[in-house]
Amino acid sequence: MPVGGVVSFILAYLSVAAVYSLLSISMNIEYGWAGIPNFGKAAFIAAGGAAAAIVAAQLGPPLLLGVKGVVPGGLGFFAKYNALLNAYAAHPAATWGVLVLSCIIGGVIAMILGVLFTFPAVRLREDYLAIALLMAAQLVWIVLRVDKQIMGGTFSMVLPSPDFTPVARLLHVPDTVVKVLFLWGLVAVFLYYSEKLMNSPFGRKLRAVRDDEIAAEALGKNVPVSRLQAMMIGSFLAGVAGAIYVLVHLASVNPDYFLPDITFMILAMVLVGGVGNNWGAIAGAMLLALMDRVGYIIGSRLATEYGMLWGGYLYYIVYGLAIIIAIAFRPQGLVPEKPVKTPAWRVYIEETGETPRFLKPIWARLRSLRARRKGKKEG
Amino acid sequence: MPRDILVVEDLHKYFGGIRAVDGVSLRIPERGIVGLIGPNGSGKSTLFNTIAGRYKPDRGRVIFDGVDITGWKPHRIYKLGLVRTFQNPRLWLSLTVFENVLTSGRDQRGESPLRAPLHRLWAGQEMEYARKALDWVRFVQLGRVAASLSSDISGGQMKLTELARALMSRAKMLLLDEPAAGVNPTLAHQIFQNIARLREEYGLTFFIIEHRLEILFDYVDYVYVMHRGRVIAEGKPEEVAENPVVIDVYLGG
Ligand SMILES: Nc1ncnc2c1ncn2[C@@H]1O[C@H](COP(=O)(O)OP(=O)(O)OP(=O)(O)O)[C@@H](O)[C@H]1O
Ligand SMILES: [Mg+2]
Repeated sequence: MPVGGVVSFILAYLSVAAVYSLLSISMNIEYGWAGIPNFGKAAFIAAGGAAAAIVAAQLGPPLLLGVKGVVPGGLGFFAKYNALLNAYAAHPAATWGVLVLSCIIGGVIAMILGVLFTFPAVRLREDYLAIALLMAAQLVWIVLRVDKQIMGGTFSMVLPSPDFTPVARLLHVPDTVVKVLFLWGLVAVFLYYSEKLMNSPFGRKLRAVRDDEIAAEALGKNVPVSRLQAMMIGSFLAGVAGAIYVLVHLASVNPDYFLPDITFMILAMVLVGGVGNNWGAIAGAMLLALMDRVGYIIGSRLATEYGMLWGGYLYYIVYGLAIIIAIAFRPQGLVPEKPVKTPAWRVYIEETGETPRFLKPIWARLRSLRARRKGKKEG
Repeated sequence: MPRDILVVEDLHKYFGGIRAVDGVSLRIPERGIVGLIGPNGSGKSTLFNTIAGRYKPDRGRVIFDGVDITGWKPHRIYKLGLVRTFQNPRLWLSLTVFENVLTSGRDQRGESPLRAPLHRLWAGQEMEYARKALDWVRFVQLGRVAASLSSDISGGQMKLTELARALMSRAKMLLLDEPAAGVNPTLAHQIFQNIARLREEYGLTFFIIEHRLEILFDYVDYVYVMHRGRVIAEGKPEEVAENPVVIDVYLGG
């Protein structure tokens, strides 16, 4: 591979890893913290995708460009829509308007869907809830395929990506570099938010509900409401991430992007990275995105050069293996769950005069480990 | 005469054909320490579960502090001030002992997802609760393991964590399902002494299931005896201890 090939591979990888990180952080709030196996994740990502399509074709033109929008599915749609795309290309600021609007609308729609889908099943056992969510997501996928007025049915719609060129010129770097930086900036925002959110009595309440819901309700926690809260937050973030996914990363949208594959991919990332740890969710996303990319390259070589057509499905094998290996050998994931950090521990340290091991910085922990080893050897 | 804080009237709970609770009526006076005894499988835990809202009764009423709580969800009953512990400890195993107790504090501002990310909105209350939680952890003599994961402690320590958790809730009345099971007799006596102390200091009411009668009878004012889902005897400990029906049930099984 030439140098340019390696660089563009790395940039493409970093871009997809960032998008998956956004999604796995949101999945981790539901599955990792609240213990809800959200097998319907695809539907909430699709909400962001649908919002992006609606904003690009129908809401954005009157609001951002000052022209009439077009409804997908009608006669002559593509010609009119191409004219709109050209108009967006001439207005970089309007493309950013599309992104912002899509994120807000996508997040809100996803949150509403989260309540609608979860509410009837929230009192059920986790496995029933998982199945109900899986079915709901299939329903959303069918609606998106059949109702051509949302994202044009089974045809892919090209989307007006946010224009990175002005910033890229300023910094004298290629557009894709700015895009990658932007996406990782968003990952930082998601990470910051969910760390703040979870290191709180709310995070502890979710863990209590997950660990033992009977004890949680006996000690005053409203279990269905807690689950709904987690689903609402996770779904909102998934809707936002979905809009970013189709607008920034793919620059197109199609109902088939929201098949259950993506749900289980993200679930695998959370399982491998660390259930209940936000950093772990990112680690899992980065690792599986890399395996996915490499698997894709090897798989398509196998298919095209050696006629091994299963090569195209190599990534399924990769994900399946990753889940099995994680569950069998490291069920806590790459980065295990940490105790909830709140000011309560400050009180604990003040009153007892000792710092629990898990609150010490990593280097101090390593030092004490080494000291203990040494002590053993000498003793 | 103190008023009755808990009144149970003709309570029934069936599991298919099993009449686990079969028409139980009882009254617990405020600031009382009342025992509930009976052979294995006589329905004591099911009675607690039905009073505290885990099971909906098939018939009958539960009145706590003047409010009819029949069929209420456990978290609402907790809010009124009636809190229970479990016979088999049900701790939140991914949390430390300290956090198990802390999490049980009532009306925590930071439990709202909207306030949670803004730490200064709840940090003050959190630190105040942390001091209280640590006090309760020390009260049940678990100070040494406060920062251990609750999955790493012994069965007896788990029972004590359950007790501390219930105390943290600022309840008016506690239903304790075998609070001293799995601990040695010395510690068991200490637990019951502490229960007596809690009544004096905080005016708490206790309803306690316990198998070791020789310990229980030193501390309770009144005892109910259950057998096959029914109350077969009640009275002061010394009366119950001499009641031929009770002796028969305990010896005859
Ligand atoms: N969830 C349930 N489903 C079906 N049967 C149950 C359930 N819980 C209890 N039972 C049955 O109800 C009866 C009373 O059980 P319970 O646990 O209330 O007795 P107990 O007096 O607490 O006994 P122990 O002293 O052993 O704790 C038993 O026959 C038990 O098998
Ligand atoms: Mg029992």
